[in-house]
Amino acid sequence: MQKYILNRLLQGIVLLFIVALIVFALARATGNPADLMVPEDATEEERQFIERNLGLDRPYHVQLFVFLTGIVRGDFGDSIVYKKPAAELFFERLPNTLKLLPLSMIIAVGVAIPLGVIAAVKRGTWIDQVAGGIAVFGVATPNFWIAIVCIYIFSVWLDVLPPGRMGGPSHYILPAFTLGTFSIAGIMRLIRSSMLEVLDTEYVKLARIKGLQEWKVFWKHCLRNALIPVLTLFGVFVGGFVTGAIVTETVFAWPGIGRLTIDAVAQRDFPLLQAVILLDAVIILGVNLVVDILYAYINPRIRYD
Amino acid sequence: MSLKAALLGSLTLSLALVLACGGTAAPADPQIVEVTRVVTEQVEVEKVVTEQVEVEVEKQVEVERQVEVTREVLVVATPVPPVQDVVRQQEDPAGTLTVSLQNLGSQVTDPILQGRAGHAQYQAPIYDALLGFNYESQYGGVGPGVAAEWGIDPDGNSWTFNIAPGLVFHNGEVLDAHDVKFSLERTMYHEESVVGDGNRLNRQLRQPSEEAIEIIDDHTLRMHTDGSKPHFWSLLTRAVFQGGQIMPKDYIESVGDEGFRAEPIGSGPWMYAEHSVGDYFRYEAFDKSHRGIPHFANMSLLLVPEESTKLAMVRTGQADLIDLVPESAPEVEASGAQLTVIEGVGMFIYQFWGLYYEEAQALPVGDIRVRQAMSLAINRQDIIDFTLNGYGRPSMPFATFPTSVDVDVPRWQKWGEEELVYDPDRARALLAEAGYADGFEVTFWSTNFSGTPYMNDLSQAVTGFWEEIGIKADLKIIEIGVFSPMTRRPGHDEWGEGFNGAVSIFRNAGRPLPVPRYQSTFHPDSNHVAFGDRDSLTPVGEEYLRLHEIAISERDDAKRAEATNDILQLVADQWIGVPIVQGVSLYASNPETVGRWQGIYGRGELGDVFHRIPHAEGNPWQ
Repeated sequence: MQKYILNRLLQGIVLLFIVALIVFALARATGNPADLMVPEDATEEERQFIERNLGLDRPYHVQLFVFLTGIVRGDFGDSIVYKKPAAELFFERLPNTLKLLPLSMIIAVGVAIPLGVIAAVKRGTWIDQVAGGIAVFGVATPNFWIAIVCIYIFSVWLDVLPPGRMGGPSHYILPAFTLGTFSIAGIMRLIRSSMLEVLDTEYVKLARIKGLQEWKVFWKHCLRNALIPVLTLFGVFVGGFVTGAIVTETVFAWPGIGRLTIDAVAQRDFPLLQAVILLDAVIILGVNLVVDILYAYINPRIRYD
Repeated sequence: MSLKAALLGSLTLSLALVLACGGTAAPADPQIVEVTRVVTEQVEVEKVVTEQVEVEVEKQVEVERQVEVTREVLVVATPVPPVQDVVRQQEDPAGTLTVSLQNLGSQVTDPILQGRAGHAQYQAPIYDALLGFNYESQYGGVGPGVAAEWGIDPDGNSWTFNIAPGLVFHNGEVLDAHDVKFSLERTMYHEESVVGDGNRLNRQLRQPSEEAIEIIDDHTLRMHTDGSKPHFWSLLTRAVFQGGQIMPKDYIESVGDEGFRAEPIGSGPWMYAEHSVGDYFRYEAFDKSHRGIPHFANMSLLLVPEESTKLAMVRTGQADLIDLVPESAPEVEASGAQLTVIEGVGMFIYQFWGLYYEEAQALPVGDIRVRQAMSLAINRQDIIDFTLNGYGRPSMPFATFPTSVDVDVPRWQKWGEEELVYDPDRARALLAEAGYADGFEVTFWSTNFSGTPYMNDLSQAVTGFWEEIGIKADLKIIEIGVFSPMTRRPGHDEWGEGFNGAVSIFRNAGRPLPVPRYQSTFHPDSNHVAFGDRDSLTPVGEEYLRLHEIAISERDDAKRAEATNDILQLVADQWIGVPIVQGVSLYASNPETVGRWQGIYGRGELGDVFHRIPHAEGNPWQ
């Protein structure tokens, strides 16, 4: 196991290096922050004045060297726009996103698991079809549309929930629900197919022959095993939450890392963009590693040696 | 009347005027407004007096110093407060004004770190500029700021600024000429400064510019320019550009840059309380600002990028005020929220690129008749009515507004009415005359600039009208980060690069000084070089350059205005930078919490207006 973890860590470092190169190149391919920091009719001299002050007049290879050596020291540079260390901005905002994630996951899992189990148990019935419809709706509906509809219904029409921004408990409901719906469909379909597979196994048949109550068979024996694939894909879902947060946090004016990412992109804030994406990548890699390790403990048949 | 009596009377009026310009309190009684009007009418008398010198003042009013008024004072009028300000003086600041805005710029507290218009939204509440706004005028423009009076000196190569007496920073320190000099130099020279105006200011001052700013006394500065710069004042006011924001010298020197940025101190009507990047700014009312005391005790500026969320916030009472785009206006009107329209904030134009190249002469758009036909094909009223939901205005020539300096406004308003018309028959006739009766193909590049996310809609409308006269426009919508480099040199230094040979959407800010905007598009050293660069200057470009030199340096007002108007005519005749419509800024207020207010003509941001926004009580919208 230790060898496996070490191997994964080394892979992660290589992956992060590749991500760093891609982010560095793509960020610069889409424009220059100086263009967005001066008025449209600014003179070239004014623009150069700002480029010089921002260090953007240096050759790309010098900028890349500064960037990579900075990462090694844990220094992602200062945000061009906000004039603060990029990593500091990321970690200031991270807690806000993390506050949203647990509730989103609870909503996603709380809706998707029962729906998936019921759809599997009632396979081929109208209940299964409705659950399938919900899954298709969830996959096909963009987050921002769900968010806007939710705001209209619950804030403007019913006036029971605030339309946005961080605040008391009521402020969490709409963003968390919107973020959660992103994963409901995926988790539900996964649970349903896993359940169908498990329901057809010998030990389930044995349990039924022994006269075990149906609900115990489904919820205790089947679901436990059906959850293993969901856990496997948990790392992927975390990635989905992070990208989903970009839209959700923008619509709900939620100051998390999703909003920070879109701000960095929109303003071509190279150091901030590089920091946000790399640190996102670190988080997602870390979560995936933890999931893989947990997976070995949950499913004794898995061995990494 | 004896000479002595005349002198004393006039000087008293001058001093009253100075005090009124710099005083913190607006009149509590509407009758005082009349007094102010009388004073304003006495400007000529003041000029006579200022040619007399060294007259001792009888201290019948509270006088802190004798002000040396320069001979050619441009603006000394005291703003007449609107009704709601008079009401405001009868109440103490109370409650919180919550404003949701789509953009808060860089959200930095130090003025030298913000290079774009965001400063006019979230920094302007904290900092005064050397010159302010003329709140009194229907068309905004420049008014007293930290400087109560200013003017060009008789030699034409220096400007004198008289700092209003009694100004204090939020920490109680007195604001004087030393702070002004320190602030301007910090803006020009600080290694982190991203303020383009710092660069402009530096270029206009005599070098070395540290010595060009001369402190005459604690309340008087003289700035020596590099030759005659009749528009020098424009670099020192938010009414035109960004420069001239005044920071506290002693405080910054004692706490350093970082200390200042953590606890910023200004002299504006709002004191900084706290902020969170990407989220909000919070302020508290300051009761010693010369701009006036805010109606609200606290203010929050919230960053809410999504339009639907902002609309919901104002409808549910979570925000008192929001900015919005024209597309949302009908929904706001239907919801009962109150709309405030700020006029003259900008102009949408389309612009031809690289027509000075030889290759361009073979293109249809190389023919002036074709370019004029393209303008005649556009139904601007339809664009205003349908694309902008009625929230646009007919335009004057390129970068020209009713508030424009050195411009014969009635003449150019008439030009707009007569030339920027919809006449598809005449357009087809001009195309036929030029040999393009069957139309032609052209590429139209478009993007949404920050703050106006409907420019692509305008581009679609324009190209749609062109289709009707047979011009097939290939509309290419691209992201602003890709668009900008193509508009800047060296992004289009060769034929085939950038937008050369094509058309693009663009916009002009609603500044009262058109010459710099003409310079940025038509000057041979500019980014756009619409008339060619130094090596390829067209005859029209040469004539423009001649007129430009007069327009930026001629001291004689009439000659300068003549050259400016000639530039307008020259450019208008070329149909290269063509106005589409004039834009407005829109805000929606919750009428239960916010009373009727008005913005400043030409300034879409509200940093200089927030303190004038009243409570709903006593300030009805209807």
